[in-house]
Amino acid sequence: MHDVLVVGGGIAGLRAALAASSRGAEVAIASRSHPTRSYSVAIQDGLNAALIAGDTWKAHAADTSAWGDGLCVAQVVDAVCEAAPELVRELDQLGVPFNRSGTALACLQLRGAGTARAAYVDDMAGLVILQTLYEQAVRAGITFYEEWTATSLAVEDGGCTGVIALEQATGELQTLGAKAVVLATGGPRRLYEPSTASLHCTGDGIAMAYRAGAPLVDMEFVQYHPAVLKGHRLAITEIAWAHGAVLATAGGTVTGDDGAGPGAFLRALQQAADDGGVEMTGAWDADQAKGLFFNTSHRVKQLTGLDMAKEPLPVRPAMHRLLGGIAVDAQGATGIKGVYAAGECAGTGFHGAAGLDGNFLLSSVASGKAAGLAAADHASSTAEPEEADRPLHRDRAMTAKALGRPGGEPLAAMRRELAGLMHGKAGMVRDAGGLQEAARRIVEMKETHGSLGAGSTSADYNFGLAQYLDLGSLLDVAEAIAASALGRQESRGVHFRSDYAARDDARWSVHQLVTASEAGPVLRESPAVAPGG
Amino acid sequence: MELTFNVRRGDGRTKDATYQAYHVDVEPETSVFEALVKVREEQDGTLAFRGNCAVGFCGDCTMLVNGRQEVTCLTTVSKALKDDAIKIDPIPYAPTVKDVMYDAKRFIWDKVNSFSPGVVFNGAGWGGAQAVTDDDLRPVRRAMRCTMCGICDQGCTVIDVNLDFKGPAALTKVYRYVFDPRDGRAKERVVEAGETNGVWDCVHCWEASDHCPFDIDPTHRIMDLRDRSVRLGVKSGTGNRQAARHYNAFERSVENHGWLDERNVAIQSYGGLIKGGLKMMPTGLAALRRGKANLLPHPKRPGASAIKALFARYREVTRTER
Amino acid sequence: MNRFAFYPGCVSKGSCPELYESVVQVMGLLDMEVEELTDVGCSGAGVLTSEVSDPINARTLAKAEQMGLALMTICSTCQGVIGAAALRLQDPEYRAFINKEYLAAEGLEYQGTTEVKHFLWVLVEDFGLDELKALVRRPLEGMGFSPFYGCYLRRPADVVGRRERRTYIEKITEVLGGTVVNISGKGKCCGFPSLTINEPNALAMTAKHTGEAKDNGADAMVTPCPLCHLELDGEQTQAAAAARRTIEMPILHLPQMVGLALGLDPKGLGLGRHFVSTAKIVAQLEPVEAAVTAT
Ligand SMILES: Cc1cc2nc3c(=O)[nH]c(=O)nc-3n(C[C@H](O)[C@H](O)[C@H](O)COP(=O)(O)OP(=O)(O)OC[C@H]3O[C@@H](n4cnc5c(N)ncnc54)[C@H](O)[C@@H]3O)c2cc1C
Ligand code: SF4
Repeated sequence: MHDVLVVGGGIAGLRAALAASSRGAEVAIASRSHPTRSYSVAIQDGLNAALIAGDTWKAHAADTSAWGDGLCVAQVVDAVCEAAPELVRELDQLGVPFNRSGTALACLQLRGAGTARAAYVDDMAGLVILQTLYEQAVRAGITFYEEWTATSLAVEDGGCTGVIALEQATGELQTLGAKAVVLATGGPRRLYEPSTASLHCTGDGIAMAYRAGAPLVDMEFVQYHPAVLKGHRLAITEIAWAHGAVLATAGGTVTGDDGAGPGAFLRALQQAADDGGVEMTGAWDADQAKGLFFNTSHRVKQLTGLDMAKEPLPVRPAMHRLLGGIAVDAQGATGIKGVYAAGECAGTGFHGAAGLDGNFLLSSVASGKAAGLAAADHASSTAEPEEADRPLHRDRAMTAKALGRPGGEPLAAMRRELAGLMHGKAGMVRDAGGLQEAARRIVEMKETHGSLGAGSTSADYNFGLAQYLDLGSLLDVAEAIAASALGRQESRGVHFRSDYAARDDARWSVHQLVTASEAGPVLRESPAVAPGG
Repeated sequence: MELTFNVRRGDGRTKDATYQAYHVDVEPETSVFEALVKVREEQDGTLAFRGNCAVGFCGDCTMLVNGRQEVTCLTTVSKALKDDAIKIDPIPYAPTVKDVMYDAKRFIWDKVNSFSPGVVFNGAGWGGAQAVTDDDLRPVRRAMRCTMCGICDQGCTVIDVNLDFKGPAALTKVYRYVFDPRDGRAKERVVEAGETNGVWDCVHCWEASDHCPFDIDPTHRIMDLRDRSVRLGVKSGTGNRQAARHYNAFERSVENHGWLDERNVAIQSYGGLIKGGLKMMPTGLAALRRGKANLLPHPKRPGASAIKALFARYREVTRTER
Repeated sequence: MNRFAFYPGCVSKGSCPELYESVVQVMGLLDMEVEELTDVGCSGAGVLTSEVSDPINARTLAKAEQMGLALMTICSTCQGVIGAAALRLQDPEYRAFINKEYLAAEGLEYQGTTEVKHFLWVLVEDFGLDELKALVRRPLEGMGFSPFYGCYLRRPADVVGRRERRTYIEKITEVLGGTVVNISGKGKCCGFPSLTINEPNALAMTAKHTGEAKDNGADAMVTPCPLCHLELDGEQTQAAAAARRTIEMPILHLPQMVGLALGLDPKGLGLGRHFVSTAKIVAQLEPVEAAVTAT
């Protein structure tokens, strides 16, 4: 039995593990892939912190709240923005070679920021931070369960005693016992096409918490990335904007600074992409392309043959981020005792209705650290619980059944349909009719999903089984998104209802918490995001 | 476009691999990785290969594509196609686990983690008296582009004959620490990196640099590590003193004669006249018989004193950091 | 008329005198003049730290510069190490540092203009394949040669320069009437750099390459690098024993192969000085009426 078990080895998970370990807890990480293969690795830009002379955390907080369109949780925003400079300094001291200007830290001005505020590492902040945190996690002696897929929280009588996880190499399901669990499993990007999804972005942790009875929050806020390489998943780094990138459409250039807000900007781009295409150009030269944009331009070249320094890139918006997630308080505590959540799977209320570039990574680091510390404290004040074996038996029975059922193409077709459905009906522009249709289809799909399975009985590395489990998670998350989007009868941030096109502060200055029930998702409004609030 | 994948199937123990053909319809600019994911999701969930991010950062999808090691998510099918088909094999210098999946622990992580991990911060943050500059950190960032894709290790001539050689990827990780001015343990690290199967076993064949898709120039990073090591007075690990003996003998020869006396260097590298002489006996005798070697060490050549002066100067110039 | 500042390196003056002698003879036949640099130092061979080898090589480059000649090497490693130093010395700041700290004491200054060329490149680029073909007196017909380059003549790309340089030995072999027998490791390491550091690694490499040449039916391997020669020839017996097989693959220096085709006397080319007997090669040669002698 571990003191703290972190599920997920991305930036949030590793930061949580290091924090818990620094409190003296014995820590393990279980992750689907080797930690450094997690999707945080693909983050190109940086993280926000008021580090440049003249900037203040209050200015950072003000920009965050303005962008969040009235729905940010003020205490969380203040706490994270105030801590941000120290969080960046800690990363630097752990070994992240942030860019400097001379001997001072260098910052970039990203869209939505009043000043240069994003600390960066060329165009590979994710890769370098992830590698650095992993180095330190190995140094700290953390135990790794690499290539283990968590299937459920081991919850019995309201308390959590660990997680049930599948060892991919053997096909065995085990309980990984722990006094405290931190979920840091990332987002559900695979729910949408087009998206910036990696294979493992299936929202597993969100679904696990949801199924175990924890409320989710702010699930209606789904944010697209404005400029993703057409035909691929590669986001063109936001650093490009800081260096004068321009988006050209048939109708002229689109900029994000016209004051209409991030939602309007994204919808205009989507329209332009549908109408004839969007091209990104910039005044950057070959040296910048080789230096600052090396990683992006190299990948663009490999995938399209285009030279970023000379040629315009065809881009389009693609789903990028769910802003909500498992409802947590400022310490990362979820609605289930002993279970914490951090990173992209957690709904902290920091982003509100629209997330600011450079704030996502910041919130992964901040929420990871907070959840890790809280989990360690919880573990140290908790006696070793008796291991529950009912959840294990339940999951073993579930997978055993799945192994005997057909899978493959019907699952693939279902995910394709689901991704199209979510993009079309629960994407940038929504209305009651579309959302109801989506919700109905999701129910039907869940039913069909229940009759499908792994497509083979293969024990080791059964990717058919993974595909089946992934789709199960995605359907649960889809259900919560559709219900929440239908519930919010106004437009705010990145949530746009064509049938309720205006922001309605009198009625909707609240968050929606969504909980699973036999009869489907149940919504509850609340002024706070915290599960108890 | 329609194309055929011929994918190696079977567990790691299967000697005679079988190839299974999969036909799939994808766009020409689809990556090999995404096309294989499509195959796996639509046709065969038992097909085992790794990969996650699909945009060339996670480093997990390395395979042999028509015999060439590639980051498969950055290789489009149209580029990879050969006679309407693409042959997929696991990378050769790692034990195969299943199908195209290799033993990543044995291949890369055990090696990377065999070196003391993690920067040990020495107080040189930003601002303040010890602050480092961007110029100091630029080489570190370049090395940290490394995705641990393992392509360099696939080109490595030493791994080709000895799977235990740490390889350019793991040694590039050591470079990242040793050249990070915020880490206070360069000397311990170069000793660690200098043990058997480490930097001194590198034959500087430059294959790694030729292979790395991200222009990290890993062979150069190893040579930089050796240079830094020598600067710090370290010429081997603790268990392979012959590496230091080799270096010193080589240096002595060039310093004193201007030139290398291979025979003498070999004798001294093997551990002095008695042991080394015995070891060299068979070769030495054969060489003499064939008129390939003369018994006497090379005489000094003209210019020797000038070279000696350069060495003296070098010791002076680099003295401060010894 | 071509002239070069000639950098023989250590090995051709030590364990492989046959290389030195055959290069000099072949250059003579081709009417190419070499002026040997006698008072320069070892390149460092990639063993010595570049902090000391760069000054030594800058000195060599400066001497060639003074003569107004390109520098010709006859060893892949010399070529690679001096070539890399020359590339680094293109940086004016670094060059100024080396000039000031090291060369000034001798009254030397390197301006950064010396071209460094291996004998292999000189043959193809300065003499010419057609011209070489015209001089063949004893075509190497019916004989198979496996080219073995030595790492530094293949990589790193920025030091080697033109890509086609990676196939010159094949071209020369064909021009001389021989057959190219490819081996997968022709551009890989022979093992020499590891010989005194990790001998099993070195021997395994040697056995692999020589064994493959044998398995593919080559009559000999040919190399432009004396270090490869020391390893592939000198260590072959031990390597074969370690690999539990017999190999007996003759290893020719590049100028020896050229010299044979141009009609030079095998003995004069030093073919009798190898560890692995070259008798079978010599026996296969067409007799020439009177072996030519170099001037
Ligand atoms: C391409 C891209 C660019 C971005 N750019 C920026 C940026 O510039 N600035 C910014 O602020 N934000 C950016 N973000 C957003 C944000 O920073 C990241 O999404 C966030 O850091 C995600 O971190 P994470 O640790 O929560 O999730 P991930 O890194 O996705 O990690 C999830 C982990 O959970 C594991 N896991 C998942 N399911 C399971 C399971 N069932 N069992 C066990 N383990 C599991 C995975 O293996 C992985 O280890 C970007 C995101 C992406 C994708
Ligand atoms: S050094 Fe280059 S080739 Fe080697 S693992 Fe790193 S990225 Fe891949």
